[in-house]
Amino acid sequence: MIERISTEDCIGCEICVDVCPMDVLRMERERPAIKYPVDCISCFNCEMACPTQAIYVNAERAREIALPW
Amino acid sequence: MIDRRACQHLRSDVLVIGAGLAGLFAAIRARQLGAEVILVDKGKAGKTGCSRFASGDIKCFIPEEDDLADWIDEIVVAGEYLADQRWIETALVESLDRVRDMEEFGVEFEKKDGKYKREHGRGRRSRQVVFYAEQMMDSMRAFAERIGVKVLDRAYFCQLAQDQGRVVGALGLHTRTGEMLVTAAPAVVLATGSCSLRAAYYGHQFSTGDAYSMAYEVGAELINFECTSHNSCPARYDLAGMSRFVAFGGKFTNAKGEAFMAKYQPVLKDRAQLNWLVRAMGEEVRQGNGPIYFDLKAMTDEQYALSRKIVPWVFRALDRAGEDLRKERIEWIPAFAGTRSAAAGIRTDIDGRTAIPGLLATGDAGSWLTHGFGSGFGGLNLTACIVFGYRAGAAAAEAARVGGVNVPAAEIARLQERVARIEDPAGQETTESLLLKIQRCIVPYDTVISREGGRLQKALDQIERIRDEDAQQIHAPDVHELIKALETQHMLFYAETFLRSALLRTETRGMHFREDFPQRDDENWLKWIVARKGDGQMHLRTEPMPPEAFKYVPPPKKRE
Repeated sequence: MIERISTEDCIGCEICVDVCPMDVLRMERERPAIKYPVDCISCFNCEMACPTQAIYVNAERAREIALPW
Repeated sequence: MIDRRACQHLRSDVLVIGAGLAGLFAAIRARQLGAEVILVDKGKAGKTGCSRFASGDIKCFIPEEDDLADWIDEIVVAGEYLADQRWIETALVESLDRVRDMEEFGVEFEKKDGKYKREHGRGRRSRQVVFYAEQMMDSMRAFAERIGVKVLDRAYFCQLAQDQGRVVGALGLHTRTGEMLVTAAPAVVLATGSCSLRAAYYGHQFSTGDAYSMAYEVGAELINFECTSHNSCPARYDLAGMSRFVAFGGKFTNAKGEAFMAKYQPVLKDRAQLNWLVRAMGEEVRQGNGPIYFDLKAMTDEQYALSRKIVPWVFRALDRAGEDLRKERIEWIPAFAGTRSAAAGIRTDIDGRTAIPGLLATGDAGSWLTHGFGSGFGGLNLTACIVFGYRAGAAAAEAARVGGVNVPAAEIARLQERVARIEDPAGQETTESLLLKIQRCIVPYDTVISREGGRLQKALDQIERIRDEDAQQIHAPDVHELIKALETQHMLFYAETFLRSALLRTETRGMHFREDFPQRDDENWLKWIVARKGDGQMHLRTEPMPPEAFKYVPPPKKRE
């Protein structure tokens, strides 16, 4: 799940919002907000695309899912 | 109901819905043949879809080096004879030309001495070329745009438009503004990928089976929906790419620490095909030996360093979670993949045409008659995407020659009504709640892996109740949730189609394991199951496989 976006490092380029496959991020007041965290699938698109390494994604699952047992 | 939503009208010769590898290939080919093409995706084309997160293999046949009959035989047997062998032949024979096309599009493949570097992967005879998914998708999108394909991102298309039986376009919504998008096109190619119900695993949760509902609603057929697929992954993390470390001495163990695979697969053990692995895991849990773990503690320092180099993103995720595979084994589960890399899909001919004029389907949204009842071939999925995507693009360009069409106003009203019902504030059901209910009907081991008639029927009863009650109460407070609500309706439809098909096949074959019919029945079941809408409900029937489907390998001898 996306854990945080560093406000110090973020330059407001909007690339993260553009590349998120699940529409988790939206621009609010010229900065990306984690608007829909439950939809994050830890694909790492945003972290990899961020030009200033401002984004930190961990591997924890964002939503409860049914398991096989 | 007053609809204040803005509406954009578009027009094209060909509309391709879904910009994965197959959709991109179809769009490019249609454009190269002179058609005006609009390619839409509910995400950003190139940054989403299973193609973007694929592991990096395409099965590629080189006539001077490889034995076609040998490769076909391997695939036919792995699919337990339910494949249409003409499709396998076509996919292999045309794979090299399509790989070369991709190089022209700017995709980089691993090469050695100027020749494609090919590896064996999970096939012992067949081999695959190696690429990098992100680079592949970025370059395909760039090429498509360069030749004049109009790409629309964040465009979620959820309804086909029909006029006197012919498909004349499609309708959708912008995923952020909610603006309605109405596209008139005499040829529509559905390429929206698979449906895996947002279950565990990495890089697939956007695959909500949107095309299956859309095609079904206009009368197209769905085929082989009892075919499903599984990967496996950590219980707590959606990570891919770790099971390869069986090669470094990784073993699957139960709660007691026993490496149980030797009991179920004495020869292959932990290298057994995924079908067998997930069933063995489940049987151990049934016997009270769960949970299941993947134990990599025996890796040498050298192997560990190498594994960190091979899948650095996996280890980055594990590091962040505080997991050290050298110290602790990691809990492991089967990961339901639904129709991903399985034969299930919209029924088409080998060029992607459905029986509905103006409607085509390709990629994982289409039926992969190459696969039979097997999955996890390593590379065959993307081969199918490029070969059949190309063919569908050509067929779409040809179908578009009928000329201009218009989307009837009634179709626009129909989508407005569907949206208004979801936006009705009286509804109490959230998209998250509805999804979890659907998952709980399908994902359990006792339902989808170890199948049995009584339990399948019970699951179907539950899905019908969810369809008739809970789903009717779905509510979306904003556009983001509205899109999720539509996707969840499509996932519900997939769940129902899967259960009905699985109930009907009263034998065991490949991943379709029936406790109540544990034998393969070649006397009665060299057939495909086909689903279609009729009289307001779903009709299923069986169709004997045509003799031409056994072009290379004859059907297995029937029991006396």
